[in-house]
Amino acid sequence: MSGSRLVRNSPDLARLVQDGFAVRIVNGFLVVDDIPYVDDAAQVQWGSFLCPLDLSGTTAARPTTHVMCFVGGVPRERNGQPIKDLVNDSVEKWSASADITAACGFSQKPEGGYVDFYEKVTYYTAMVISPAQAVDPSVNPYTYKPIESDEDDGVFLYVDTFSSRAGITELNDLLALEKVVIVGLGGTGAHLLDALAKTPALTVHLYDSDFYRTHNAFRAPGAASLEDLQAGLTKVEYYTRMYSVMRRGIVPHPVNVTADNVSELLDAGFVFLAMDTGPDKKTIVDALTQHGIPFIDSGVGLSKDANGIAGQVRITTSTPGRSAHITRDELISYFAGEDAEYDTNLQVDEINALTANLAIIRYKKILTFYADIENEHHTVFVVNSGDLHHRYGVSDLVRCEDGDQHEVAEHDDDLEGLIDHVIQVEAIHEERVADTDVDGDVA
Amino acid sequence: MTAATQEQGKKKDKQFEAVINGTETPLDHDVLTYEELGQLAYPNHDPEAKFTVTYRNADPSHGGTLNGTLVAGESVTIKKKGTTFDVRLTTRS
Repeated sequence: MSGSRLVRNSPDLARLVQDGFAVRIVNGFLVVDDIPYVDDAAQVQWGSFLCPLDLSGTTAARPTTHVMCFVGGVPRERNGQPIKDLVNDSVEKWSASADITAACGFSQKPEGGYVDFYEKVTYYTAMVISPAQAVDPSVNPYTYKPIESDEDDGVFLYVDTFSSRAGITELNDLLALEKVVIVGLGGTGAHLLDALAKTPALTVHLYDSDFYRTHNAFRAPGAASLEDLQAGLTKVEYYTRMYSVMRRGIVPHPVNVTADNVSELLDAGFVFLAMDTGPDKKTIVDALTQHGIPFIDSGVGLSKDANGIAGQVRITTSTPGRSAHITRDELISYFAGEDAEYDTNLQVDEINALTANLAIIRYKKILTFYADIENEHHTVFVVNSGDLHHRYGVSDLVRCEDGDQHEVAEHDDDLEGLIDHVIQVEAIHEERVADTDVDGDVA
Repeated sequence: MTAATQEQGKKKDKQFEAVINGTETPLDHDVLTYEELGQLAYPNHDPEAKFTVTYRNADPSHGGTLNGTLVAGESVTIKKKGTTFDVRLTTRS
């Protein structure tokens, strides 16, 4: 009867299904459909319970909240009057998807809380359906519909209950790109993967021909075992194996990207360049720019100065409307330099992780997951001062409008693009403000 | 020329001092370009090397900003003392 591993493994969910409840698991939420209730016109209607599903691995855990939401309307007494103390306007109104959004919430807490989801669902069911059954004794919530779960359709091997608990499921859906590419699986690339693996991107393609060695382990997320190091895997194979325990869609390519295969990147939704620099990087940057593929190039430059290790982290962004700054202002070096001359072959795990995470935050801002008032296209973090410098963003435009002639001359050819972006950012902001007004809730 | 005036002349020659990558560097002028900073940090570097340059505590009274980045073709006015630069090749991953 149950095609869901989660329901099979969870006695409380399985019991709900056995009783005949129409159980669904959507984006980490438990949804129970076909709940009869009485509306304010004293008519029987059908709605759904909705609450975050707490999991322990592949089994439902004890509910951490006693709050329950209701989708479809506001349940009333048989005469259409409010049910005493049932609806609580102060609780968070969850949303599992655009069409599964709470109309109201309840906050009934039995002594000691609910022991499991069976008790939670049946407790609230009793409160809601009694008036409906008083109006029409034939109605009940036991429709024995086959259970639906998206747990096997998504990219993750287990349900993302973090996003549902945090109330950011809808925002997280913005990150469900078809194809994201990481070029280079060194320290920065590996930390990029660590963050991207936890987003719902459908596929994450990895390009690197290097082998995974002992020294890599000290700049990599997680902890490699001795067996991992002795297995003689390429970096992309090692990381595919490591992250495939959590999600599907990691696609290894144990080759470097060159002019011969750069075309494989041209159907990507976004590309991260985390490779040591060289002529191939210029080939890739030119191809991506020409085809309007958005990308972020990141670079680390550390040196052992007299007072300790110092240096910079650079995050350079290209979007379809804004890419001229990279070539014009020579932001990316395609010349690596001799190690002896520049002494820059120095990297440390947390600097790689920081670089990756600054790039990921920028990426998520572009996808409107994070709020963004600056829309910067170039960022430099300076280790010894802790300064974070942004350029080619809204502030540059504001300086232009303030009549800074130097800046006007400097950014003249980007001005139109900047204005477009300011308009876009403002439009997104206004949309969100409008949503807030309608829902009376923060989007 | 007396020793005293010689000393004075030297001081006049190097009346500015900036810290570049942690090293105190005497200078005889106060406007530094992106290109010159590359030369100061890595003398005789390959011109293909494009450095990432940041500055701190520059002189903003000449139209610039106190802290910021410099890219190709740009320059910044330094103070007599206390302006620091970071000039690196951010090419590693």
